[in-house]
Amino acid sequence: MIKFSLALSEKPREEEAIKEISLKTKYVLPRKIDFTLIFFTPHYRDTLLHYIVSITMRPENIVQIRTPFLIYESKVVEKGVVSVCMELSQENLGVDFIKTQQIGKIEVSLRRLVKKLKKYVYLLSFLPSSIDPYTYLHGVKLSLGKYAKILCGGYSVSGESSRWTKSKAEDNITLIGLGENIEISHRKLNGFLPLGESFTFTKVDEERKLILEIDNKPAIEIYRKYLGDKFKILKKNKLFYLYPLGTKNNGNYQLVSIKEILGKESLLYLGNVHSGQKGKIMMLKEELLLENTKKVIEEEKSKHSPRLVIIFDSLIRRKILKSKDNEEKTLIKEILGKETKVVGAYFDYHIGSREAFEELAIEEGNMYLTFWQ
Amino acid sequence: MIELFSSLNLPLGLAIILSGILCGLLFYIYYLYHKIFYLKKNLSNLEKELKELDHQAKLIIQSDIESKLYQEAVGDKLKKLSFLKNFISNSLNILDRDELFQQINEKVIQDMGFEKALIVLFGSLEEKINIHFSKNESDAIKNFIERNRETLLSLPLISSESEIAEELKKNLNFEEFLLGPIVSGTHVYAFLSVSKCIIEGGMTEAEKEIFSILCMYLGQCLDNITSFEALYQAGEELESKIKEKTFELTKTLKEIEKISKMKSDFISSVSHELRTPLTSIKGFSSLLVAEKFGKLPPQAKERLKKIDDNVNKLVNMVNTLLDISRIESRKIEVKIAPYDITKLIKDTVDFLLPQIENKNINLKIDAPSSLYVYMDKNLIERVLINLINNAIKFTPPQGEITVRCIKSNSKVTVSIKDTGCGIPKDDLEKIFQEFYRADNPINREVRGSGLGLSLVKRIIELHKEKIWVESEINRGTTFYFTLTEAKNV
Repeated sequence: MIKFSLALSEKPREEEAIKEISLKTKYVLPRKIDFTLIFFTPHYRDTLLHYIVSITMRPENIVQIRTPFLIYESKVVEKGVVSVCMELSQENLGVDFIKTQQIGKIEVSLRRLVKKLKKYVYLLSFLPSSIDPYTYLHGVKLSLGKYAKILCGGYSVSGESSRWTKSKAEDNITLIGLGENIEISHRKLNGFLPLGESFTFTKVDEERKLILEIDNKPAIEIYRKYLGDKFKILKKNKLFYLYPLGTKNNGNYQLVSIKEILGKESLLYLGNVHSGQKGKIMMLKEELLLENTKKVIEEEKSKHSPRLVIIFDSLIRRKILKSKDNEEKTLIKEILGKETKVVGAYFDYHIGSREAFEELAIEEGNMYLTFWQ
Repeated sequence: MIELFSSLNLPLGLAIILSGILCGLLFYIYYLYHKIFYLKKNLSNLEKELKELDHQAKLIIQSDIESKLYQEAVGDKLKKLSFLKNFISNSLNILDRDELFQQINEKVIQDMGFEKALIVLFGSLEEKINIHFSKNESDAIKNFIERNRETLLSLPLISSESEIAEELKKNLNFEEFLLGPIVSGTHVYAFLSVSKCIIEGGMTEAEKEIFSILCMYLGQCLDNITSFEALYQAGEELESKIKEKTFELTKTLKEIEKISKMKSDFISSVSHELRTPLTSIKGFSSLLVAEKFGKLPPQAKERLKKIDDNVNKLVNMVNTLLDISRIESRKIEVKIAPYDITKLIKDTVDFLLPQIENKNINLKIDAPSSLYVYMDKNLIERVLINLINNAIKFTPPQGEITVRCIKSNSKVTVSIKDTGCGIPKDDLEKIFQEFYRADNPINREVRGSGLGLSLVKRIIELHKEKIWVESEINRGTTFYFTLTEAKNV
């Protein structure tokens, strides 16, 4: 069983914030800290933050992620620093950083990381905006298989992450491999509901990530059909994130987010879709979402009694839900109870599976919860 | 059918079997036809339902986007209203036009959702504020205002969608802009223009509304500034008038003081000059009345007696005048020391006893056996003589006079109450003035200088104490004055 400590500081200055976190952490982990995961909002200077963490807390490994918002227990924090410190033996933890220029070596790095661990259990990773998520996903599938137990949070434009190893700062891919003694599982939540008739993606350019035709008509027609005279507003205000497309996979729908209209009729997408796949237009249903969240958390609590929950939430989802997003975090904490600590960050997209034996996919608009026993 | 098969020379049995098979086939075909018909019908129903579901989906999505856009607009409005509230609270007390316009800074413009702003005076086309507008752009706006002066006066808001702004839109590097008048009173004082360089969904309704409110608010602030300026000017004028009047009054006061001093000096020198010959007259008249120069005929003696009495009165009057002028010119030396007021009252009453007994007046003294106060004994004695003498003068025979001493905290109030004819209300304020004599039957009979009470008041004021009078017609008059108690004597 891992020993961990969770702390939040909302103090505006880096020194004061880390001092507060350090005091709280040392109370739980007085001897040594093997791994520190820090989520911080853009109000703090990352270099200074790293320097103070290394001299006050002296952890073996530091990973710092800059995120637009933080999740701490039942609330969403707009300005603050949160840390998760762990006492983990080296055989249960592997931290590696791959430079952006060395993305081709992802497969080798992952194999090396897995070898280092006594037994590979789970992989957490963070991707900066300079990384193409498809290349990363390809590397993961080659090294760990397409059903691997991984969860990755990545940024495209809206956020930036900074990752640190002991003393040097680099904008690179962070890999955190977790070994034998850690029991971890994750669940995917979205609340998007498929609507209307199903259609077929008749022409998809997977290389350029373009949906060219749906039901043998220009792809954009699908939005014209469902939005009627509101289509112009949708196009002008770039509101495609409100209605992503869903591809049917083993009875479940995976989200395909539309990022832009390219040319006149094609849709630039983020997600996984192939020609010939069936799909539907999706819409976030808030009532359904809260019900679903409640059901999933209750299920996990009764099965595993988790001690720590790390949430990888979606910025798009927060943009749609607004205040409901805060309500959802309160609900999660209420169900989990005092014994379970909750922490999290927001990302643009995620790479993961809904559950075991489902192929890994890139999706936008989901919330992933990792349950640590 | 059997007959048909029989006609084909088939054995009867075979004909029957074949007929049966054919009938079965016909039935099966009929059954299949019906089944296909029903399936088609079901399929058509399902398609209809699917179409209906799809239609429902369209309605759901359209109402969803409508509600989301509405929520977005409400949120946007609330955010902007909160910004406006902050802006108003920061600029509410500004009373300078330039300072007011300086409040429209880059942050304010960004909070409103715009990127550029320009304030141009309507009359001179002078730029008051320019945030990120290039020279060409600001010139284009100024030219537009100049060319459309008359039309602009009747338009509350011009946006990039307005027909009138087509030309301006072409001349500018941005597509979305708003132009609104800042109206102060009934005149357009200036024009405010804001714009967005990057087209992100155009100008929202919230942005248009907030812009209009801002223009209106700036207009109201200008009204306030104008009112304040008018008020300030009026205040300045009033102040200058007050200064002028104060100067005039001071001048008059100085003149009055000068005249008063001249009068005092005159009285003082006249009194002084009068006293020497008066002393001589008094001396000789007394000697003559005492028949020191020989026996006088009774008629001459009577006349001389009258001369001596009048000389006495004149001496008394001159002395009083001299005292008043000394007090006024602060030439009198005041020796304040603790002294027993009860004893002084008794001594004064003894001094005036012949007059009291002469009129058969009942004089009561209501005072503690001994009460020390701070006073100049000689001056207060003159006060008591004057007041008691007055009381005797105005109290009819068999009347009553009460001299009372009451101690309250550290103050001692001495009162002299008579049962005389009283003083009319209108005269009460004037009796302490020099040479003033109240109009009553006694005064008409008894002659007096009208200087006694004036001297009394000045002596009491010299002690920094108070004197006042209460009176009721036909019931009597009471004079009060205060002195400070001398403790631990």
